[in-house]
Amino acid sequence: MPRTRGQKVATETGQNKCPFCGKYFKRLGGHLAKSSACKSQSEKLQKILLQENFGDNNMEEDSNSDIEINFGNEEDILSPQAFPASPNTRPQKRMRPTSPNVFLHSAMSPGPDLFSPVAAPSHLPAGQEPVLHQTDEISDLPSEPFEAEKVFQLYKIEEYPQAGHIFQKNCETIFHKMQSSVDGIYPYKPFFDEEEWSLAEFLATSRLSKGSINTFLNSAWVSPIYLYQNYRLSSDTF
Amino acid sequence: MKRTEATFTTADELYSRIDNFLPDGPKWYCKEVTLPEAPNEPQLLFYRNPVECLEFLSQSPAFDGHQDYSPVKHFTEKECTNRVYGEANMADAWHYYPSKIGPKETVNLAFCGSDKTHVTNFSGDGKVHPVYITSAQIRADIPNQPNRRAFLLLCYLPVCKFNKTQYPNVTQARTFPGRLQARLTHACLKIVMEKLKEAGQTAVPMVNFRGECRMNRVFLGGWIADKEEQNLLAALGANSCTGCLAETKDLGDESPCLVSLSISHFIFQFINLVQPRDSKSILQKIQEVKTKFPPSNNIWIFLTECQKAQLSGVDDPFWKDLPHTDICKVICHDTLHGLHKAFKDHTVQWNINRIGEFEIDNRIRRLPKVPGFRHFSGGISKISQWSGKETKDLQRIFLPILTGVQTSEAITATRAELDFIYHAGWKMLGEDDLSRMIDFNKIFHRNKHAFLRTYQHGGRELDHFHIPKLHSRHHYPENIRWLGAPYNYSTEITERYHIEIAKKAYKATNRKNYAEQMLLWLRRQEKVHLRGLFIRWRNGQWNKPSDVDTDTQFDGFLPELPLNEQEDPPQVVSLIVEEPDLIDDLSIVNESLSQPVLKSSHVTNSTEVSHAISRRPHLIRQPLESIMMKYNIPGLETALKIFLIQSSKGVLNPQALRSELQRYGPLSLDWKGLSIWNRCTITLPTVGFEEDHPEKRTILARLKTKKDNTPRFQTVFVDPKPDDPEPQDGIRGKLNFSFVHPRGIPFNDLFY
Repeated sequence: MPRTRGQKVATETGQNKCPFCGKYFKRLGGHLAKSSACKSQSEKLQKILLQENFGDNNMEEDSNSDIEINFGNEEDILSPQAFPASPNTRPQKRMRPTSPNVFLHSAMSPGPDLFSPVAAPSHLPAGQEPVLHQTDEISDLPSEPFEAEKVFQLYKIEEYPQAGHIFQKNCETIFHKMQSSVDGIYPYKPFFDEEEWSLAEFLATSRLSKGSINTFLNSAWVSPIYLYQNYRLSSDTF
Repeated sequence: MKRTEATFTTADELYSRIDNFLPDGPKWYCKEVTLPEAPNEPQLLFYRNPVECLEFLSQSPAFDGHQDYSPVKHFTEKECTNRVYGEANMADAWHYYPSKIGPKETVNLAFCGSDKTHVTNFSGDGKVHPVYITSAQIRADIPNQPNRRAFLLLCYLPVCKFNKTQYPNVTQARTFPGRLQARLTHACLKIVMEKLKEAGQTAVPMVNFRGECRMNRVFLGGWIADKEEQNLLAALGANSCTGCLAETKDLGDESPCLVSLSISHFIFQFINLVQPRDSKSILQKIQEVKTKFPPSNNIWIFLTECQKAQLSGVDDPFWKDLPHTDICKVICHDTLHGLHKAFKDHTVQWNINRIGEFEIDNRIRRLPKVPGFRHFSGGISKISQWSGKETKDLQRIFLPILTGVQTSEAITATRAELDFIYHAGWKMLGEDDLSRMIDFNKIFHRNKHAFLRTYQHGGRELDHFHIPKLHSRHHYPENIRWLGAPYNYSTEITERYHIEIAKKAYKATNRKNYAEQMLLWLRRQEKVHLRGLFIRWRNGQWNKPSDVDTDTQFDGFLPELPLNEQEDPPQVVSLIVEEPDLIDDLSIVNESLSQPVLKSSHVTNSTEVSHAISRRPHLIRQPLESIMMKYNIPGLETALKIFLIQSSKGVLNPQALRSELQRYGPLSLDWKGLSIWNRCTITLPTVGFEEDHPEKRTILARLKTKKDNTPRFQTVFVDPKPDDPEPQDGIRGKLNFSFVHPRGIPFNDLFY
C-alpha cells in the first residue's frame, strides 16, 4: 500500500501546495496517491510536457501495453556496466525499498479538459532540456590542452648534496630507552592493562578536576561495591 | 559485560603514578633572575634546553617522513631563472648556513614563537609569556596541525610590572617598567639560548624516528611574533622597522630599503637613502649609547638616552653571541597581524570613513548567501571581536562592496592590498610572484592618498600613513626569500597553541603561583602523550614510514626484532670510530658533485575531479511527481527516460530518440521513489603541489532549511566530454537538485 501518512495539514502553513486542487499537504506524493483527480491531472501534465519537449502530439494509444514490457525489462536495461562507477565509495546500504506505489502506474485517464491552468506548459523553463541531449557548437577555440592544468613541474638544484648526511643508522630513540625500562610482565605499568591505561589517559587529558575524577572513580560504574575489597588489594600492588 | 575495575582509587593516586613512573620529555630548569636595577624583585624563569627540545622533536613518530634535512633550490623552468620559495629548506637561509659551516653538516633551524597573552578572562591581571620552539626540518604543514604537537613549550618568560622599584620621577615611572621588562626578557632569553649557541658552534648528533643519526648544527632560524614583540626582540624602539633603518617618520614612505630589490633602476635611485638593518648596526648603536652613558653608572640616564636613540634600553641583547645569526633576518613578518589584522584595522576603516558605516553595513547585508562566503547578516561595523577568520571572510567580499561609492583610486589601492595579502598566503611563491607583490605594494602606495581625501572622515589615522604594518610590507619579499613562504611562520599557529599551553593550563591551576602549576599540568600532559606514542609504537602502529623509500634498514629497526636492537650498541661505537674516514670520503664525493645537479622533480599530474555526498540522503523515497512539483522541474521524468534509453542503447540522434521515447512507457517502480541529496562536495583537481590538501567546493541545491526559507540553487558548469582537451566548451546551467537514486541499482550519482 502507498504511504498513508500524507494527511492534510489544517492550516495554510503546510509545506506543499498541490497545484491542481490548491490545497496544502504535508506530502504531495501521498496526496497524489490518494486523490485520483489530482493524480490524473499530474499525469496529463507529464504527457503534455513530453509532447512539448519534442513537438510531437501523436501520443500512441497503446502505450499502456508497453508498460508491462518495459516493466519486466527494467533490470536488463539498467545493466551495471551502463553506469560508470562512482569515484567515492559509499556503503551498499542505500535507501530501503519503497512500497510499490500502485497508483502511479495506473492507467492514464484521458481528459485534457481537466487540465488546470496553474501548471500550464508555458511555465516550462527553457533550460529544462536533459543534460545528455545537447549539441556542441563551440569549435573555434584552440584545441591544444591547457598545459598548466595537466602537469606542474619544478626543477631542482641541490647545491649541498652532502647536507643531511646520515652518520649512523639504527640508533636508539627515546622509544627504545622507554622500551628497556618497561616491565615485561606489566607493559602498561604503572597501570594494570590497556583498559586501565586508556582510562588513565582519558582522565589525565580530559581537563577534569581532581574532584570530578574522584567522583567518577567512586561511581558505581567504575567501582562496583561488591568488588571493593578486591580492588583495594590490587591497588596495593602498585 | 565483564569489566576490570581501576587499580587507582583517587585522582591523587592517578597523578602520582603519572608523575613517578612515566618518563618525561625534555627536562625543565628553573632559575631565579634578578635585574640589578630592580634588586628586590627576583623573577623565576622556567625553561628547557632548546637543543633537547629539538632532539625530542626529531624523534617523534608524528613527523616521520615529513622532515627535510638538506637545502634544495627549486625552479619553475629549466633555465633556472625563476626560483620558487616554499618550505624553509628551499629558502636562502638554509643555503647560507652551509656556506658558513661547511657543506657536510646538517642545518637545523629552530623556529621560535612567542606571544604575551592574558590567561584570566574578565578579572585579574594574569599574564604569561610562553615561548614555543619547533624545528624547520619539519615541513610547515605539520606544525600547523596542533594535534601533532610540533611546537614545544620552551620557556615561560617572567612577566613583571616592576611595581616595587622606585623610579626617579613620575613620567619615568610610567615608561620605565616596559624598558625593564625588555631588559628582563633579554636576560632570560640569554640564559635559555645558551645551549642553542653551543649547538650552533659544535654539531650535535640528533636521531630521528627511523634511527638515522645526523650531525646537526642548530641555529635560531626564525622568530614568530607580532610587531610589538619583534621590536622587543630586536632591542629596538616601538616604531622602528626591523628590516631597514626606517623610523617613525619614514614608515609611510613609498619605497624604503630598496637595496634588496632586484629591479635595477630602483637600486641606483635609492641605494644611498636607506640601508637594511642588521645585527651589527643595532649593536653599534647600543654601543654608542653605552659608552657615553654606561648603564652601570646610572641606569635611568641610559634608558632615557636609549629612548632618544630609538632603542628599547637593552644593553646586552640575547642574540649578540649567537653564531651566524642576524636578528633582523630571524624576525618573521607574519601574515595574521601584519596583513589580515592590518587590513581590518586600517584599510577597512579608511573605506568606512569615506562611505559611512550605514551604507557599508547595508551593502554587506544585501549580499546573497553563497556557500564558501560568509554572510555578515548584522553588518561589520558592530562586530566587536574580530578574529583572523572574520577578517579573511571580509576580505573575500570587501572589494565588490566598494563599487560605486568609493573613488577609483581608493578601490585600486584596496585591490592592490588584497592582491598582496592573497599572494602572501600562498604556500609556494616564485620570484615572479615576489616581483608582483612589490608591484602591488607600489600600486597601493601610489593610490593611498585617496583615503585622505574623504569628506566625512573621523578616523584618527587619516592625517598620516606612519604605520609600522604598512611599512613592513616592503620587507615581505626579502623575508620570503630568506625563510620561505609566510605559511611557514604565521602567528596563527602560535595563537592556537596558546589555547593548549596557556589557557587550558591556567584553568587547571588554583590561580596562585600559577606558573609552577601550569608547568606541572603540562608535564603530565606531555608524559601521557609520550606514553601514548610509546604504546602505539610498541604495538607497531607507527611502523610504516610514509615516504617512498622504505629501505630495509628501517625494518631492522622496528621493535619487533629485539635481537637487532641488542646488537646496536657495538655498531654505534664502531661507526663513531670510523667517522673521520667517512668524512674524508664525503668530501671527495662532494667535490665531484659540486656542479649543480639539474633534474626534474615533483611532476604532479592533475587528479580527477571527484565528488562526495553524505552517507544518508537528505530526502528519501520521494515520489517523482512530488519532486517535479516541489522543485518545479516538469522535465525530470522525460530526462530520466532519455537517460535510461541512452544508457542502454547508446547516444541516439534526436529523431530516433523521440521515437524511442514515445515507445517508452512509464518508469519502473525503482524510479518512482527517489532519494535526493541537497548538497555535494566537489574535490577539484590539484594543480601544483597541493597533493595532500585538494580544494573542495560545496554545491547547494536545496529548497529550504528549518531556519532559512530561501531556496539555494547554484549554477554549475558541466563538461560533457571530460576527455576533451578544451575546458571551455562546458554547458552552464542551474543545478536543480543533486542526486536521484533508485534503489538496488549500483551506479553513480545523477545530477539534474
